[in-house]
Amino acid sequence: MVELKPPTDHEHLPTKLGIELIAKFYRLLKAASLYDRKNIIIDRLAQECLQVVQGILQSEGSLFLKIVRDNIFFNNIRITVRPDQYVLFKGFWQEMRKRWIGDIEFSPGLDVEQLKTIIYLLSGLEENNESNYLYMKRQLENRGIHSFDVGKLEFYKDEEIYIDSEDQKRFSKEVYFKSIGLVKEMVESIRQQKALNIRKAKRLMQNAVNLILQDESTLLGLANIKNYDEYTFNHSVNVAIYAIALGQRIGIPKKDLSHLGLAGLFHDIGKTQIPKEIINKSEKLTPEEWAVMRAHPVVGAEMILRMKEWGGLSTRMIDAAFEHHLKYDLSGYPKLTRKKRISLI
Amino acid sequence: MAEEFQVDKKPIDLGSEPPSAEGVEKDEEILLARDLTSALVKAIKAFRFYPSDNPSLVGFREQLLKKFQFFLNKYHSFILQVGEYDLSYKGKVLYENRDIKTSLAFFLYKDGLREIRFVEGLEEWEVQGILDILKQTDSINQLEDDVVTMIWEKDFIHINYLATDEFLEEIPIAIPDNIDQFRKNLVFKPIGHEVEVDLFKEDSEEEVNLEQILSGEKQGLPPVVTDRSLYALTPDEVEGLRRDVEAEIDPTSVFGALDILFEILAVEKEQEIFQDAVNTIIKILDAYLTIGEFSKATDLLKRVNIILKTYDLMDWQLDCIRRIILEAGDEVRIERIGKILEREEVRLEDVNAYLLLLQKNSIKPLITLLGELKNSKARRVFCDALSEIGKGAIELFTPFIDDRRWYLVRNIVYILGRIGKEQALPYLQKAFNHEEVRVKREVVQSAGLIGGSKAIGILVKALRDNDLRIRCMAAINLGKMGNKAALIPLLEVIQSKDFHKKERVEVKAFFNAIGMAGSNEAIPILQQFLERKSWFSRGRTEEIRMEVANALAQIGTSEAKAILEEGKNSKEESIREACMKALKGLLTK
Repeated sequence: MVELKPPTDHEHLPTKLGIELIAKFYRLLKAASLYDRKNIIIDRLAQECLQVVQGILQSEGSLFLKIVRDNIFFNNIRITVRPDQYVLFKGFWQEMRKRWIGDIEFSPGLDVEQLKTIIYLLSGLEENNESNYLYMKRQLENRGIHSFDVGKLEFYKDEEIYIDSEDQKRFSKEVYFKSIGLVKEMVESIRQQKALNIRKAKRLMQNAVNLILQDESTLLGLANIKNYDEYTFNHSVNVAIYAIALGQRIGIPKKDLSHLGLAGLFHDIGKTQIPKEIINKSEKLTPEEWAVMRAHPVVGAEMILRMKEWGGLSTRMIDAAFEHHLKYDLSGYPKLTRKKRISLI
Repeated sequence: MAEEFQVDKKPIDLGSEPPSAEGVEKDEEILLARDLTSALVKAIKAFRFYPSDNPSLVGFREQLLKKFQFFLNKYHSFILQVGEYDLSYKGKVLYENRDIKTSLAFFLYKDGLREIRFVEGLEEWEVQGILDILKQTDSINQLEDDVVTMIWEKDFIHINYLATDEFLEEIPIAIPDNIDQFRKNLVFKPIGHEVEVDLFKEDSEEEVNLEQILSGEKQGLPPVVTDRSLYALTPDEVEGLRRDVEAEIDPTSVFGALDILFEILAVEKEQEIFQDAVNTIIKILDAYLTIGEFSKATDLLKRVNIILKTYDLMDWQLDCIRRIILEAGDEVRIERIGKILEREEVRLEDVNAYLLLLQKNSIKPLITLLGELKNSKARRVFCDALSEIGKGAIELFTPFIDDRRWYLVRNIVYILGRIGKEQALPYLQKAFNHEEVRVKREVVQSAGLIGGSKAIGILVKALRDNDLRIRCMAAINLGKMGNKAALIPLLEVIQSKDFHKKERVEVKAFFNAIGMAGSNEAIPILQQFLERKSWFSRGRTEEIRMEVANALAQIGTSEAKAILEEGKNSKEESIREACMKALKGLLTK
């Protein structure tokens, strides 16, 4: 079947122009919250931003930015973001979202003073007010600015849970503790030689990815709960959360982020096969016992191999289980018979 | 009444109108929604029924896209509520089917989907993507996937959903209000020993407050953001990272598991686990063959061979590992190779390298494939590989001498010749009676390669064949053998009554063959030929003298050279010229 999805070329022109504009516009917006209108920095940043706007209008004929869920579209083409651009992109996205502004449109004729007016209007918008776009439109009209327009942010139904920060907290807690429950359940399934419910784990990790993509702070905050009780499974859940958060920073796509989360959840699965006497031993481990402990990455990889058909997901899970004590220079354990590339996962 | 959606095996009537609703629907939006739902159901039905390369599916997809775009341009969104057995829009049921085996609604509902929402801007790839998902029913592995996961993974921009996952909870998970409550609920006590103690020290005394964490996170910048300033990546590092990410999300990254599987083979002593690793290695090999990655498949087999040669293995381990090589050449894999060779351009050197690592079990399937392959270069690669693999197993080839396909017989003859075993000669003899001249020519070449008295028998017979090329090839092959038994028949032919009447090319081939034989025994006869007054015509005489002189030069012994030296002083101009040219050629050599 023909792949109809557009290619994601990192250097394609709309992305380049879109990121350039976002960079200038975002810097100006941030500066507007720190300096007053007459400040020389504002003047310089506004000039720079206007130059980019005019350049784009001249070459492309139009300039329209639109937020659709996690994405920003530049003249109706989705912007693909490189890892080093991520923070900038996400920052702009968050600034616009919290003001409920979903799209902005420039047209020819804008001058630097008008741009400053626009920026201070945007900067001064109340957070979480759905009517901001109406206020902006009225203000622009009153000031005779016709070269700029804004539109309301469109939220989709499945995003509503994140609008309210209390909801976000509640949902983050739910995902976090359900994940801990899931790891327990998986370990129990392995002990009882029952088939693993990967489907459930996938759904849970999708929620974790959604949460982190929206606002990583709450779930990452929960991942600070470290090892407070030696009989808990939160280490695996924490690894999953950190893995997703890091993964999104370096530009790993959404689907792969959920696989990354799963790889994190199961990375220590080999420990379930270590005898309880060793696991629970409070004294220093003997070299033999350490050897058993150090075998857990291989054991983990073998367990995943046995519980899951070979494919994209199982490879990531095997990689995580096998490599999580190996460093980039291949020091650590297990010792290898031949050099291999360490996966990012 | 809502539309019934039944999966049947009858061809779908593309021209049929969407079923009309009971009663007259007055609301245009609902009418359009009903029409759209009907188009969606029809398209799903078509995608389930027809193979994915059927051209009519494009029509279904385009029609559906048009209807979606028309609706969305007018109403901006289309939200289908998913009931257990029905799909509805704004409270109106547009589809209903209570048969859980065929109901689209139930298919979506059982996975927790409660709403699908299509929004303005919907693109073609998204319509194709959703159809690809919804066409699946029985093919979804319920332990691993569901409709919600598949929609989520597609990461649509203009399609989203509302889903519940409550039904996945066999035992409800209690969400603690605080840490104490969480601790109190702990019932299970397995893993916990901190293996990472050698990597970093945990502060287990630290008291953690759940509410503090949650409330703190919303204030100011998240901690990870502040840490960002610790180290900034250089442009090269960013580029390297980008490449790594691309490699990681590339579908071929699944092959990365291979290294780990080989590491498992190096340490694992438990039979069942070892076997599992071997099975997965075979799956990876299969994948390489399916996509035509012959060089990687070859590397895999080479690694297996290294293990066999260097590891200290128990018998069961040896058997397990040998199985990889055996399966690499079994019928299924060879068929797979055939498919890729017919379908795509692959580097035949890589294919050859792979085939050379196979065992004798691959011979029969390879011959079968040889009989089907159309690509002549690929056939040659197969023949050469079979010539290597088949050493010591000619009995696996000889039954195919009777095959009805002349080209396969010819290939088998070619292979038998290169294997070079005398036991093959009776079969070659049989093949020499083949009605196809190209088979007979191959027999002559193969007999020449095998050599020996039986081969000479075939070649001598071939000297008198009706086909000129066969006679010439037979002569050359006899000459190459360089022994008396081969020389005599050649001398007999040239002394026959009508030999001088034969075409120049044949005359040349025979004298060339005699020269190759390199025996002084031919010299008296060659001398006679050189000195004979005339052959039919002057031109012919000159030609023959030239070939004879060349043959003498090829023999190259002092006796042969003496004849040529003598000829240099002959009264006959053509003898002198022929001898001088031959001696000159000899000097040049």
